[in-house]
Amino acid sequence: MKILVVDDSKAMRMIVIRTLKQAGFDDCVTLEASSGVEALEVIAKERPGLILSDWNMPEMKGIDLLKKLRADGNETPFGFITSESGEDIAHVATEAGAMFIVTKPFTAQKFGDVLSPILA
Amino acid sequence: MNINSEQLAELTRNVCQAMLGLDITPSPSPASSETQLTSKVCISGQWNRTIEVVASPEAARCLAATMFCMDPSEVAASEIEDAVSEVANMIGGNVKGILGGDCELSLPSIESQSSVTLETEPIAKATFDLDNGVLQVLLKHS
Repeated sequence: MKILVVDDSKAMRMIVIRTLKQAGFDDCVTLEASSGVEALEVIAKERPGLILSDWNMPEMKGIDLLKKLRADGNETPFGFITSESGEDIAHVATEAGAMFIVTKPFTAQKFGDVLSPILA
Repeated sequence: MNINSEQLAELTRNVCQAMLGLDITPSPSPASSETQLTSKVCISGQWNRTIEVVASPEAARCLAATMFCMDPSEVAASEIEDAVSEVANMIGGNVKGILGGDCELSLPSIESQSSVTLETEPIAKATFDLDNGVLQVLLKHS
């Protein structure tokens, strides 16, 4: 499966990809995008099976990326990996169609728990 | 709701340990007068706070090298800024979660400064030794 990691921080994209491998998902192909706009281009071209996105990004926030995808009829499983936390964030994300939120800092164990049902 | 220095230190340790595998130790040393790299994130709304992560060159380089799995001598300036900004972002997000309420978290901004100027007394402060350098986290009113 192709997994798209969307984050404006190159460091965080690397950490997410590294953690995916540590969690045992090393057979997945990872793709990267540094913004919501770039993510839309990658999604159209590569059709990933899962999107992991930061929440707070310049140009297009993660939540706006998700809303855009759903408005366009794209139902690719989508989860947030973000420093943002709180019930308000979780509510907005779920309403928009997100499957999960993983809050930073995270562990490989957390990735495994959240992603195993999706990637099985 | 406020966060004290002990909570800020614990939160910072958790971020460094969980995300980077770095065990950082509290330091009684203040940040030195050499050029520091500072990343700020702001919380605005029901609570108005600024979180500053101030890193000496050694500490900043160590954070970047660990994040990017590189030799410290090989990390580029942009990677150092990215790493320090991401640490600020994670700490800021966690502080926002603890404060609760209806708030927004800004994107990190970065600046270099020749010394740490405490123009306003921080609400909380945590200082750590990191690779012969100093990492300081400040929580301020904004």
